[in-house]
Amino acid sequence: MSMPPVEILLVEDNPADEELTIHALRADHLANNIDVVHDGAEALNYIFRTGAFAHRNAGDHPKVILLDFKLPKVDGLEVLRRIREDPGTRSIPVVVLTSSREERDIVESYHLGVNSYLVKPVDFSHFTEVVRQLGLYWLLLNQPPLV
Amino acid sequence: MGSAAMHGLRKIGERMKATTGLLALYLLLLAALGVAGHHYYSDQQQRAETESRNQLLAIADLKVAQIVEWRKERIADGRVMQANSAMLSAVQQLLDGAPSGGGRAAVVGWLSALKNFYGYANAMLIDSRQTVLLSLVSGARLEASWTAVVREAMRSSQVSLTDLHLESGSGAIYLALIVPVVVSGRSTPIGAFLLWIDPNTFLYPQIQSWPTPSRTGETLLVRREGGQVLYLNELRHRKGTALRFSLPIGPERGRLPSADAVSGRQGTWNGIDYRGIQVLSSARRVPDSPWYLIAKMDAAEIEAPIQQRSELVAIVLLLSVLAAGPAVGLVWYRQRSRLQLVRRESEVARQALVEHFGYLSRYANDVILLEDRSGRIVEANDRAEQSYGYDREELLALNVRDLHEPSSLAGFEARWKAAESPDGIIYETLHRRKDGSTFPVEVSARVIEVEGTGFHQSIIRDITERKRAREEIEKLNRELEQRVQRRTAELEASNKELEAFTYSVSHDLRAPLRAIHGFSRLLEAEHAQQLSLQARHYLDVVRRNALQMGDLIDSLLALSRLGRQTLRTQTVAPAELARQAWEELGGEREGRRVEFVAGDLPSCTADPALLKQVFANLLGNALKYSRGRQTARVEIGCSTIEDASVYWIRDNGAGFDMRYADKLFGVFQRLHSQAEYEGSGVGLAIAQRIVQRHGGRIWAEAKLDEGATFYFTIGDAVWGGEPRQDELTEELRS
Repeated sequence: MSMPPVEILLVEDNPADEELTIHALRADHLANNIDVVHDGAEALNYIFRTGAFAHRNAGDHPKVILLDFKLPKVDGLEVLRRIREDPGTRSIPVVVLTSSREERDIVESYHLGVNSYLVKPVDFSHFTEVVRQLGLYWLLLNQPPLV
Repeated sequence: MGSAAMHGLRKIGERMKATTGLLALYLLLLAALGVAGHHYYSDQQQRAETESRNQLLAIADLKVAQIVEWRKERIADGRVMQANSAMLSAVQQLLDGAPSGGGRAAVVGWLSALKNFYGYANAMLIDSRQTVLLSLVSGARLEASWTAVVREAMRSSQVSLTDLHLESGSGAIYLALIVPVVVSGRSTPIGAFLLWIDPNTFLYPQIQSWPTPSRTGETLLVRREGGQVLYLNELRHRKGTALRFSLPIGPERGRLPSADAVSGRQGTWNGIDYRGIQVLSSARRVPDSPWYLIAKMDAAEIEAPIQQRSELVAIVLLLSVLAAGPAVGLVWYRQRSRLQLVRRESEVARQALVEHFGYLSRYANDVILLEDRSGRIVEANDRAEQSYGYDREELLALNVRDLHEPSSLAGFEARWKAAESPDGIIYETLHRRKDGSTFPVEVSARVIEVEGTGFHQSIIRDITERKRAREEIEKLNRELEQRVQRRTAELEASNKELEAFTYSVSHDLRAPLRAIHGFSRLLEAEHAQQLSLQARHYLDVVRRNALQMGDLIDSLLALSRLGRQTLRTQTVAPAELARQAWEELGGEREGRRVEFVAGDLPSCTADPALLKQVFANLLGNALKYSRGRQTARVEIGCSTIEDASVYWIRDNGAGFDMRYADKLFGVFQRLHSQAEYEGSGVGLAIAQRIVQRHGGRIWAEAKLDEGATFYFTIGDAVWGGEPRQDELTEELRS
């Protein structure tokens, strides 16, 4: 049976944030094809089809990766670096969605070629709005390159 | 120091040099005088001798001429007799043998008259056979030595003169004028008159007379007689010589002038006369006779005037020399006086220097040594005795190497050599005292010239204390460095910790808040029907607090970031930044009547974003606390207080009690309740942090209910930036 192509890979270790994010995306039916991993190592396995994700189809890349920064095992910056280093994954849009407002993190992320850097607001209505806009933009408006 | 002796030596040397110079000058003067004197003397001698030669020759010529004249006169006399015919006939009668004797008487009478008139010593008449017929002096005979001359005269009928003859009996000297009697009809003379002439009456005086006064001048007449020279006249210096005194003609010429003369030498020459005395003599042959005339004078007499003159010259010279002595002496004296004056002055200066040096040496805090080329110590100051524990005599017996701790002698020779460079050398080494203890020293060594001799001068400083202090400082420095390193490490660690903490806060504290806020919202939205009004109110409180805590966290992070963030300073116009901040505070002014007065603000060097944050916080405060006024008034300006530009922001709001002013800028410190005036309590803390990071200061003045004024300085704020006079009055209707 053929699975519909994955549209969003959410890398998030906090279950509350995961739930709130998916809740926000669901409002606009953007959460139909979403995969969630909970730490950096899992994220790398998923993206490079190794370990538990070795069976994944080659070239089956998500339309966007939403990447938290503070992750167990391998942090978000490292995940981003590996994605950008590999020619096969380099063009996948990556949006950092984090609680950190640290200037250092922002600068480093852009240096590594992040497509967007968003700070999660505490206010839920703001948070919902940010995630909605993000999903709409990257899944519907953005035109990715042909692989 | 030993320089005093050297100084003395040099003084003597100087004096000797000066004296030697003057002595040489004096000797030179003497030599010049001597040469001049000698020249003068030989010139005078030459001149006197020439004069004497001329004189002698002239005298000789004169005498010869007189003798020749005298002889001619005599001959002429004889001829006159020959021509007297009366006389001749009387003689003829007599010779013919007239017995009457008439002729005899006539002849005798005539001869007597002749004898008396002319002063003849005798008159004779001889016949042709040379028999004496008649002689006025009875008993007189014809001298044998005359016969040859008489015969010749008879043969030639010529009037002749005989040579001088010494009468053996009486010792008288005569010569005779032979007058042959020639009568007509006879071929040969019938007889002859012999008129005896006493040379003493005329000839000898004539010869002996000297035309100029002279002590030794003498004229002699000589003739040759075999190997002898016979003196014909009476000598001036010896009596009884006439025809009795003769000297042999030696083989050598130039000794006896009369001997030379009779050997044919004529002219003037030096010789030794019969007395054996040096003479100058001139010789002339007397013509028509065997005689030689010699005029001579003692060399002594000739030289006498020269001698006299020489003596005079010598006296003059001597006087000159004597005069020169004092003159030279005077010059010498004056020179010496001047020299002494200069020397005295320099001596005084030198003495001062020596004393000064002595003081310096004696009381110097450093050891001062003077060493000769071999390193032997030749001079040492008091300090040296104290430092090394040797007394002076012991020190002067040591070599400078002996003062070294043996292990520190390595490299000594190289340093000894280096000390001879113009700049000398300064080095540290280890020295040893007499008791064997050692101490570190700093040596300043160089070579100095003393009276042309090079000495090594060492100025030696005990650096025990300095070394100890230096080591102490080094130790303290090391410790300090270690401490700084430790503190730095600690600080770095604590910074890292803080960073990790803030990172944590930023990330981990916000996530739960977001969950609280989000899920309480979801609860309210998705389960509204099950919730009472009261429950919804509680959820609202939960959400509000979650948000406020989010704000607190953000403010806290902002404050923390301020400490670490680097300043991006540039020249800024604060008025523009204040205006922007004011614009951005539009939300706060909504529905209020606010008066805004902006005065002149000088430009300054600051990070524009941060300075704007300061204005934003202070203006925000001003707006917030003036909320209760019907017309709020916010003023911004700058004043010069104690030479510093001070920016200020004033409001007519609630103000505060100055008693709590010290809490104003503390984090989370608030002077009003959250219900009265909401806020995080971080805004002023941030403003203070920014001002402090710019090297400035912030403070406030207020009165409760009468508004507040916040002041701050920004490092180098100066007037003259772009002046900006903004007066914005906003009246907003609600």
